[in-house]
Amino acid sequence: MDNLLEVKNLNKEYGRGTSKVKALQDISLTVPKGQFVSIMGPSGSGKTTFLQLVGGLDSPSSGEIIFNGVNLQYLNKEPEISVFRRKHIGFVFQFFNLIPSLTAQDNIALPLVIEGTSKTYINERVKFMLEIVGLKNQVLKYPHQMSGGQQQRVAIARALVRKPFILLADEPTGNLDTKTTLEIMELLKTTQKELEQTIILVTHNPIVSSYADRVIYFKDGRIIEDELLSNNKSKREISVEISEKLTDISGGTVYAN
Amino acid sequence: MLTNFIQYVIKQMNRNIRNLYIILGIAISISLLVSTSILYVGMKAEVENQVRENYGEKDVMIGYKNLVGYNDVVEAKLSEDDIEYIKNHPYVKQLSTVFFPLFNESRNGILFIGIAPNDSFAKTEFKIPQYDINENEVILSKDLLDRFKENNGKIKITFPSGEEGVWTVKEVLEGKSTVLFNIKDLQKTLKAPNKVNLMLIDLKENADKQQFIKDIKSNIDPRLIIDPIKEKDKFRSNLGGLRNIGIVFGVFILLISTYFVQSILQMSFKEKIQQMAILRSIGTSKKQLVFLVITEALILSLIGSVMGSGLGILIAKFGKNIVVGQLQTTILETPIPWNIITLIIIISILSVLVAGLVPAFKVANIPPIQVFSNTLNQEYTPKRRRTYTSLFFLTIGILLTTISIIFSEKLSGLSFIGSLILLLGVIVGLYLFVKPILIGVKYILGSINRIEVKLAINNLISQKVHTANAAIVIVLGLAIGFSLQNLLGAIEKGEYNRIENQFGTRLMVQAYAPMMSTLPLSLSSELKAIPGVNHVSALGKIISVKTDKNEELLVSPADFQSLMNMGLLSKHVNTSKPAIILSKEMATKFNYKIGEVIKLTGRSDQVEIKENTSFIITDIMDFVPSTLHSKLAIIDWKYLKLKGDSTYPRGFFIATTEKNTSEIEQLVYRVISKYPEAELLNQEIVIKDIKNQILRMYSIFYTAILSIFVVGFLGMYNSIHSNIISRKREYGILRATISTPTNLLNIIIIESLLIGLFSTIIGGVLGLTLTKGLSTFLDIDFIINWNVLITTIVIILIASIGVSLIPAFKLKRLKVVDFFNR
Repeated sequence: MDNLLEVKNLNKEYGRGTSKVKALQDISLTVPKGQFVSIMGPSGSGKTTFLQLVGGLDSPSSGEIIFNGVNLQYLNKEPEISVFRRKHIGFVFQFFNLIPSLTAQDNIALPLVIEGTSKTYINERVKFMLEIVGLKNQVLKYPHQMSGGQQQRVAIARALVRKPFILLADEPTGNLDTKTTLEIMELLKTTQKELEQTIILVTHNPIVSSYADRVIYFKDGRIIEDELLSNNKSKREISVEISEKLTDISGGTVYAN
Repeated sequence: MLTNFIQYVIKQMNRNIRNLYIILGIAISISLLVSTSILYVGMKAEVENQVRENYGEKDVMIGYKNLVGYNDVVEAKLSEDDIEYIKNHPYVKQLSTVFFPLFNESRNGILFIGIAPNDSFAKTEFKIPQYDINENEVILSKDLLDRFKENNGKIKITFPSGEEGVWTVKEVLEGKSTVLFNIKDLQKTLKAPNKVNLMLIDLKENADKQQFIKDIKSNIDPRLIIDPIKEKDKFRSNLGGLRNIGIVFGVFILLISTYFVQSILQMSFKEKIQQMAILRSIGTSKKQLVFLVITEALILSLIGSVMGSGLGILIAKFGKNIVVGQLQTTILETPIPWNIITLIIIISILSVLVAGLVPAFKVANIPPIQVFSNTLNQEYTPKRRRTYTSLFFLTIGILLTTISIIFSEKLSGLSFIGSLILLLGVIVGLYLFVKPILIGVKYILGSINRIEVKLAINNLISQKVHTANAAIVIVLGLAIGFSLQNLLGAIEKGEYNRIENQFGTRLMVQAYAPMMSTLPLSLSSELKAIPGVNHVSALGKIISVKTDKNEELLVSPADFQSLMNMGLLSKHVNTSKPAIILSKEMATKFNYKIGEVIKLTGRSDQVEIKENTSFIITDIMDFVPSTLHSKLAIIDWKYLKLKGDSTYPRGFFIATTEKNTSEIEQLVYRVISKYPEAELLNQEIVIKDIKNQILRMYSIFYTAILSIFVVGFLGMYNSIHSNIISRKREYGILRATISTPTNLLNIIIIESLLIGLFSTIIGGVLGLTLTKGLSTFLDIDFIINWNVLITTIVIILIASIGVSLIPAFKLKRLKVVDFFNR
């Protein structure tokens, strides 16, 4: 399988002198196209920082991030990095971050509108995405008229509407109940399969991670473990294993926030 | 479905109530500016009409006015070179060359004027039809027709010099004592060929009249008299006085509305910052964000401008009747000055654009890392530069104000500029005042041992920038609105006092047909006997007298001591010396000033002025009651020789301290009923009438002040609402830790009340400073209207509680977790 993402010796430091904090230390990994990666670890382990660097939102102190053969350090200035982000990276947040004054279909259409895509393509693509996320009957609803799960579906559709190389999700189910969490994870799994979508997801929830193909464990800015999940086990079994592993890593504090 | 970016801009605007505030703010501001400018243009046009009606088209008259008498006419004339020089002067728009043989119009009361047959300017000037006056034809006034009419229908005129002639009447005029001739005809009759001794000159609009007079004086005969027709300039400058007040208002309205709109946009963008951040996260470029803001600002200002202009035009159309009182006439037309309106709209769009661009660039420059974190609503720490700027303005403002106080007479303008800079300094660094003032409030409220009060004060101090932002609109609105209100109050009070001094609260009994009838002097004691009457002063029958300069005056004798007791004389008059009080019309006509001495001679059937008595002008009456003659003067009758007849009074002033004069009126009616020539007038009506005129004159400015408060209220609602909503997370922490929903509701309400209190303290002090600056600058008494100040403070405090209720109840209903959700 071709590697979509290649991270080499990635370091990120904040502050100076005695207040210097090493958020990421010597991270190296590769992510093949179409893989669903879950990143786990206790609070302050560097998960979100990693996601921000991969998403081109922040620049590393040292190291390289290579996306589909493109080294981000050569794009690390405006507007090139913004254009790259717009075209190739989709984001999903814990808070759905929809535009409250736009309907579901308009929220999904927005990235294409910003890009100046043709009207016909916008119509076709939005229709397709609404079908994928199962919101065909909610097209004209505003965010405040939808449930949390529905809003997150719109947010996922919006993130994928431009066919990004990779979908970066930061605690996408952190604000949802268990039932809706499972629905959203099923949706993400479906999009991974149907659209061959590469996904990197940050979560604290072992059940959410059980949907991934691979789990990477972070602690104190380093990768502690990187494991591929077995297809032969049930989601429940996997999540129990992940939970145990997390307890070991964080010294008993799994759900520290 | 959304398919282009413009659609997005419009859709997201559609569902934002704040946009409505912005449109309202712009519309109100523009409507005020537009209506004021329309009324101003209308008033200016009307004043110009009146000026032309009263004084004609001419701006300057040049001639040999001081050469009295017909025989001098031949010697004094304007040469062709003189006429040519004046004609070619760059300031001259049009002129008429006139032969005016009896230049001293008071000589026998008839004006003989020769004009060129095709001189349209002269024809307009003398209000005659635009056809030619041929030789042997005259146009004359109605009163002279019978005097000169012959049996054959023609008229025969004999001039004082003996020449005479017969003319056909071409037209009869409505005016008085004027005969217009063909100039050649008149020159021939009076044996003064080609003589021109008067020129009527209409100057170009921007001509410098004084420079023109200087040029003429230095280049032509120094004996030449140049009459600049000062009355015309005075008449125009009255409007000029109003214009200055109008300009001050206009600038304040513009400042307030720009700030208001800017603050709403700021608040709006604070709320929308997350939305903008989402846009950034899905790839919106900085350019697109700026475009979004500019388009939004343009759409809002265009809608606001169109609405405001329409509203302004309507206000002007309906409001013109209000201004009628000020000019004591009708504004015939209120033409719409499209050029001014266009300018106002352009300024408004630019203001909104500038106001919108600041937050747009702020949003555009948010680092992407912040977009995805929860740090967007973090407390904004003011930059050191802002503090230094504020301190700089404050220092300069205080310095200028102090200098202006020390040199108050010479540097009155500094006081105004100083107070404006002070205002700017306070506004820029308002957050600097939050802590000291609120600590002061905490100290004063120390006895109130409620946790909510303490929490509210601490919250506001710790969030001083938020507090200052919420207070800024109230401070600005209160400072400007209050200072303008005080200023107008002072102007009005000054006017009222002046009228009260002249008329007082009193009745007047006067003989019917003032010039002819008289009343018995014994009526004085009968009137004095009426309960409630404090003083009675008799006013003598009018006599015609001549001054030592041969000017004619109508003089009414009165008892000065008695008038003084009644408070009728506005200035202290030394009654031991002969004194005279002139009407303003007379003083202006003969160019008399207070302190000058006039010798009078004259007599009537009953009285005679003592020979060689010199009267000192002790006062000039601005207003003359309509029952008296406007050409009137009053002298103390102890300097008159009486001829033993006691029936000469023509009226009595009755002074009373009673507020309600109706009962006294009834008694006076009963007393005077036996004198058929006596009638009763209540001067109270005259006073009321004049007060109403003054009120109408300033009502448009009161409307403006009211609008400033309305705009301020909208701004207040907007800023307090935004302040509360933007601090939702902070309130959430309070709810999660120590407070019940009711505690929270109380804290929010107390906070708003404290913001109102803080604003009124700062705004009130600034308002007083501005009032002082403006009153020194405009030379008006510094009067503090405490009633208005206290009422305004109470309204603001109530309003600040009122505007906090909706968001406070909204937050009260939230569950603790909802405070932390976006």
